[in-house]
Amino acid sequence: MTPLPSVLLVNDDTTTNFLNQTLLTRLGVANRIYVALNGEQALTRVQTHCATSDPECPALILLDVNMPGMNGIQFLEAYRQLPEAHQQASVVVMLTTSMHPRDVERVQQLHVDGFVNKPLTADKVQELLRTHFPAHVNTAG
Amino acid sequence: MPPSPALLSAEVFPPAELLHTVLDVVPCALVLYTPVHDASGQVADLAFAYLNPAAQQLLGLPAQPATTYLQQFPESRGNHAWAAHQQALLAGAGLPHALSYIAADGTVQATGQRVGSGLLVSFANAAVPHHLTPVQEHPERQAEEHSKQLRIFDTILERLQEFVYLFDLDGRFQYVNKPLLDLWGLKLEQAVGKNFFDLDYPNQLASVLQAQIQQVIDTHQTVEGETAYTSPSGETGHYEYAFVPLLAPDGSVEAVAGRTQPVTERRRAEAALRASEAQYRTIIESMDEGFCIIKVLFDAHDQPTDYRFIEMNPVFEQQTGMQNALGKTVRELVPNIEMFWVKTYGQVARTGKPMRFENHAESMGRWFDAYAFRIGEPEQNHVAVLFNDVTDRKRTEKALRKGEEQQAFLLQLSDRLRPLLDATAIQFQAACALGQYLGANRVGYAEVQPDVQTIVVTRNYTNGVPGIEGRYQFDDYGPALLQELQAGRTVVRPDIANDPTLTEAEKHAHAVLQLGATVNLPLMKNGELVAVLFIHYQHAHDWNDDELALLTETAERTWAAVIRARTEEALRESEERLKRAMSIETVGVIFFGLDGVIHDANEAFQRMSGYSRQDFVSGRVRWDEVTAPEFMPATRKAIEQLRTLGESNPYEKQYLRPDGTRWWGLFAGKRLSETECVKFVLDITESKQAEQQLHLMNQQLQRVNVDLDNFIYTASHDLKAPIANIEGLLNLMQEQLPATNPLTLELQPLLQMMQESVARFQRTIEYLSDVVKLQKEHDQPATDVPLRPVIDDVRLDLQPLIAETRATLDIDVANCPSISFSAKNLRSVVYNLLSNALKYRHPERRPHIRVYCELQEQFTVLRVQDNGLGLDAQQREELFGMFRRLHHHVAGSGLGLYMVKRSVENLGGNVTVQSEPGVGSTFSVYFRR
Repeated sequence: MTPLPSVLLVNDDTTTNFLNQTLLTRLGVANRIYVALNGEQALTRVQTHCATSDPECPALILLDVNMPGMNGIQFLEAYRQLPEAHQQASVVVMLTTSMHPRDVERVQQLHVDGFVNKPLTADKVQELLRTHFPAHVNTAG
Repeated sequence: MPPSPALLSAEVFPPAELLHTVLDVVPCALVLYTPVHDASGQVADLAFAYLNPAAQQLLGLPAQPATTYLQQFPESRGNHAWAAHQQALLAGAGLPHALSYIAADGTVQATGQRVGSGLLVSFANAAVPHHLTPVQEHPERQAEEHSKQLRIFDTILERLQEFVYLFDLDGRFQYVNKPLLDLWGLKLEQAVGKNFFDLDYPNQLASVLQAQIQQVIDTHQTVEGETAYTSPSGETGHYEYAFVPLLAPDGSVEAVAGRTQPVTERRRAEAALRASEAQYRTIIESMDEGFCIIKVLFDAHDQPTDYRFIEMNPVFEQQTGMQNALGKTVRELVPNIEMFWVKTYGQVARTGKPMRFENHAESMGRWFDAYAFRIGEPEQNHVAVLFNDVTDRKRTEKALRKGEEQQAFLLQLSDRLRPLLDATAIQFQAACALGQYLGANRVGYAEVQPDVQTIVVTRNYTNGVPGIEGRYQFDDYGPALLQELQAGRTVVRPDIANDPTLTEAEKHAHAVLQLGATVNLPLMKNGELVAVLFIHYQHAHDWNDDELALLTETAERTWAAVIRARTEEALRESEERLKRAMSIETVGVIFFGLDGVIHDANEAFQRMSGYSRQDFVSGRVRWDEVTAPEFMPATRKAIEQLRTLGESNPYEKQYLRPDGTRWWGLFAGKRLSETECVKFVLDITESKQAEQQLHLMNQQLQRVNVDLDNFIYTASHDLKAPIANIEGLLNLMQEQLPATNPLTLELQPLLQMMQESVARFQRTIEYLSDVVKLQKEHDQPATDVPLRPVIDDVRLDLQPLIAETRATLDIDVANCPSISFSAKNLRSVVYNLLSNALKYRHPERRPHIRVYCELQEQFTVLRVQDNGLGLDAQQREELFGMFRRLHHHVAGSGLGLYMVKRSVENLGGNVTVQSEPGVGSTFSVYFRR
């Protein structure tokens, strides 16, 4: 497959980030894997790199819900406020454990591209890529 | 000139015949003369042409005597009487001249007037005197022509003092003579064609008169009568009248003639006739007192033995009841006359001393008040007796005395009853008083029972007979008894043994109670028979009206007293009850006006409100003072309800004490009268506080529940992430451990154990999440879920286990095709029960599971019966607890039955278990229908 230019992991749990980063790296999903520890960091990265065609703009954002500071939902709210072009660059997938029903409702309103239950596994990643980035998978195929 | 003759139809009244009849009818003496002329043409004499019957009698001459006036009354020639006759004849027709005739008894006044060429003389209305000197007959004259006769006729009638008139066959006046017209103040033409009604005679008189006219027509008989009449001008007189039939030649009635004369005049004349009689007779005849003269008869021993009536006045008969007594002796008339009378009159005859006395002639059934005095010569033994029948007066006096006695009795009775408070005592005292006064054998009151067929006698007065307290059937004493009493009539039976209205059985019923005679008086209330006053005599007994009246009076008085006593008793009771009711500790009672002033309050309200009784009684406290301001609108609404509906709905409000503290009251009111209301207040401060606490607790509990919910969610979420990390790290570690490293072999089992621990940790977290989810599904909607497909589906799921255990399933749920539940939860229930039955099977036998169902009134009951391990008592108790796992050898969360129970109970159902260790269990799930 063709690796994605970059993936952004948004999670405050460094262990999870380590595991996910190891997994994605092992699977060769992306050229670059960035980590943001909260919503603000993630938003800064999107604002900085997604305005223009920049490989640094993450093609896939794996977003955790519970985080100190700006949490996943707040990030999504802010993200949806960005200009259309800024958003088109990224696929946003919520990486969750069980979610509180009221959060699920809110997230659906804010339109995410998918939900993936923790923990992230090789199978789940493959499935994700097949769904959202079929071109990359096919080239590999 | 009266036009009357013209009005008379000559066909109906042929003048000659009419004239004759009228002349015959009038009581007045009338004479018609024909002038006898001499050679010079002067009237030399008057020939008698006709004398009517009255004149015939008066003058003692036949109807047409062949004699003349001067022949009959030769002495007239020398006096003015003849001259007057001549003048009358020479004067104009219809001009009356006063004439006079000398009769034996004196001068008779007459009136003369010319009719045609003849002379009519009418004699004044006086009693018939001795006839005048008769004279020789005069040759008969030819009859005049009809019209002439009519005029004569009218003239005659006009001159009469009597009223003369004619009716046709309809009873209407055809002719009325002038005197009557004058009395009426009418002209002839105004009277003709009218009847007595038309002439405004009093209705009753007119009816009588008209009927009598008809009677004359019907019977051909003369009818006579007498009446008073007041003329339109107010002249009142008493009149005698006669209606006479006028017959046609064929014998039928053609008309009715009438004549009327004032009677007053005649009576005066009659009195004058008797004026010569002795003064005393006049008085005696006219007085109302009885009078007689008797001759006392003495025997040889000079003892009076009898007396004979030799004279009596007209009222004698009426006063004594003795008829045709004249000439008879008293003992002939009244054989058993008391000797008192004979002796008394004998004494008067002998001594000449008058006696006045009053005595009872029992033999005659009369009382007399008499005054006897000797009259005439002593040896005549004549006694005059003036007497009066005073029976009525005596009777009245007796009644009066009796009435006084009774009045006294009733007064005594009232005094006797007044202090009595008890209704029964009043009845008994009255019965005793009445019994003693009347000498009765038994007196009492009996109260009619609600069935109106039976009567209950309580304590009764008795004298010589046993009491009859007890219950009796009216109809045993004859059906008439109840009927009469219900109609409010007193039933008097003076002689029961011989009473023809009673049957033998009824007589026997009376005899059992020793009733010879009875009076039963009804006492009514609102038209209903409520009680009976009875008076019994052992033997036959006659009651007089006075006694019965007394009974009625007593009965009513006593009853009134009884009612009064009962009313007072009821009042006392209700007052006592009210007092007791108001003394209640827990309910405040307030009396207040619609104007807002509280008049009174019981102790409970005083305690609740903090006001003293004096505060209320003085009227100082108003409800707006004891009510917290924010509750005033509700209070005003309640007052308005009281005003309009008479009652107010209960509501809660806060009251204010004088010190400003508040208390809660539950208030309900009722209007007692136009202005006064009562309200009942319950102090609910404590329950209000408890309620508030409960409310607070509930809010707290809700918060705790939400917190717990969040906690479980957060816990499971927050635990999931690190455990997922640990899992990931372990996986990574295993992957990265070099297979060649000698440590790897040693570490592998440890890693595996760590992975298993992580897995169990994750399962526990899953279960916790399930509980949370179950709470969320609390209000899953119930639908009708077909049961059999759910069971089949679960059975399919469990097929591997069924096969493994070689279990047999017996499913029979045909009689409950569907269950009202959430489909998802129903599946869970069935799954749990079936899988449990398989999991907890007995190790020594193949599982046999029966699934069946039953419809109850409120529930559909699903039962799952197994032959598994079974549960002991303690296990059964813990069975449905959360995370209870009773058997460690079987895998499970300990949540299954908990969730079954929760989901069923959430929808109003229930789960029960029957079990025996080592034998098996039956789970019953009650789904609400």
